[in-house]
Amino acid sequence: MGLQSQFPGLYAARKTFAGQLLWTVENRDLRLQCPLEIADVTVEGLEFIGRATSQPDKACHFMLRATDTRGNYHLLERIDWRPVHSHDNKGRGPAELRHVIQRTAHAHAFEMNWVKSEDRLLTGGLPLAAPVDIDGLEVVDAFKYAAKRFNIVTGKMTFPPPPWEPDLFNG
Amino acid sequence: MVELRTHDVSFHLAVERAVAELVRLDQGRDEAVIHLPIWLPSGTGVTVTVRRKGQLVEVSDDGGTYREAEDSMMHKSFARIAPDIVTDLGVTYEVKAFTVRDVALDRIAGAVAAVAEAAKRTFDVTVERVAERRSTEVNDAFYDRLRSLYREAKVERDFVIRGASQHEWKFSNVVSFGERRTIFEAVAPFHISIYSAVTKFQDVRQLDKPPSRYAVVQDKDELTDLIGVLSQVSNVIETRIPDTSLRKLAS
Repeated sequence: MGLQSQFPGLYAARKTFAGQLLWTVENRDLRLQCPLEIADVTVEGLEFIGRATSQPDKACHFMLRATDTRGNYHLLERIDWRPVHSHDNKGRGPAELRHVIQRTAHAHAFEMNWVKSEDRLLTGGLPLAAPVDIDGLEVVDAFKYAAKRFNIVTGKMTFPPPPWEPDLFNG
Repeated sequence: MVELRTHDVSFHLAVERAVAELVRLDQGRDEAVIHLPIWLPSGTGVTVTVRRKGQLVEVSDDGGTYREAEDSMMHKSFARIAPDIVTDLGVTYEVKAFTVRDVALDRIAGAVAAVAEAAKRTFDVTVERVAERRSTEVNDAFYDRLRSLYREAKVERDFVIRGASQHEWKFSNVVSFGERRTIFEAVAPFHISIYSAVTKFQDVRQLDKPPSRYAVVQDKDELTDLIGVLSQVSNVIETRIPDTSLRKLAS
């Protein structure tokens, strides 16, 4: 059974964080990467990823990612909070979203990009997305929204906002 | 049937609104973000930021295109390819970003176009190169396997076969038992790789004594519906095919 056929199960399973939520500085970006557990087992290659740029209070991505034994990874879902880029599904996906330029928060949802009949994700890096109404939330609440979508139980775990001090990038 | 009149105001307004929607501008105090109607395969639009720097400006994609490559695991290739792309565009590539510095106010449009072109072109070339590299890796690994499985046959790399059109095609791995040949050609899950393989296979399958043909892919799932295009001209196998099964294909 290939990794892709496991994606629906991995996406739907109740998950918890298997490590600390810590941001690190990586060239131009801030990154948070944390392995995930399902039923008390830290699942090989399954991770929650947060990514922010040097621009405060915008452009934060939350991702659920699976990596196979060859080191190839696939995003299962990506939430773009206050994005600085636009998105267009082009002529694919739900009819009401075709050729609609999405300027605000959107979710590259697993179910939109999953081809059930062929047991695989669409190629091209989750090319379909739908608007989500989270740009009015603070980043901590946007994280909670993403975690809930990914079925990650946060419990008492607190999410540290990205450390958006300019000195981190200019120092 | 209602016909559009030549001076239909609503039609012209609709088109004007569409044009205005294609390029969007978010203005800040000392910087402006321009959303361009240039789309990457993931559906993400190319965005370029213009920043005031004294009397001049700096124009950059701020690494947004790199991040899209990262999400498809192509960022390392992207970073290697970008410096070659920017040389004739007057753009620099540093720390994930395409940038033009010291731009005069009357040259902003040209600089924005150059940054956007560098970003899009680098992404497109990266997609092609990644596909090529994947095929090369598969071919290398497959050659070693074929050599060990077909010790009594001749296993050759880059073997040339003249097709029915008389064009000479180069195939990555060919197993020969005398005049009986079997082709094993790695194919990446991208249009260019698939079309290239189909063209070659199509031509040699029309020979009087066509060689057996196997397209070798890492994962049939990744081919999506294009597997139907490949399977019209060749058999399709995955790299993980067991040795016992692979041993039978050219015997």
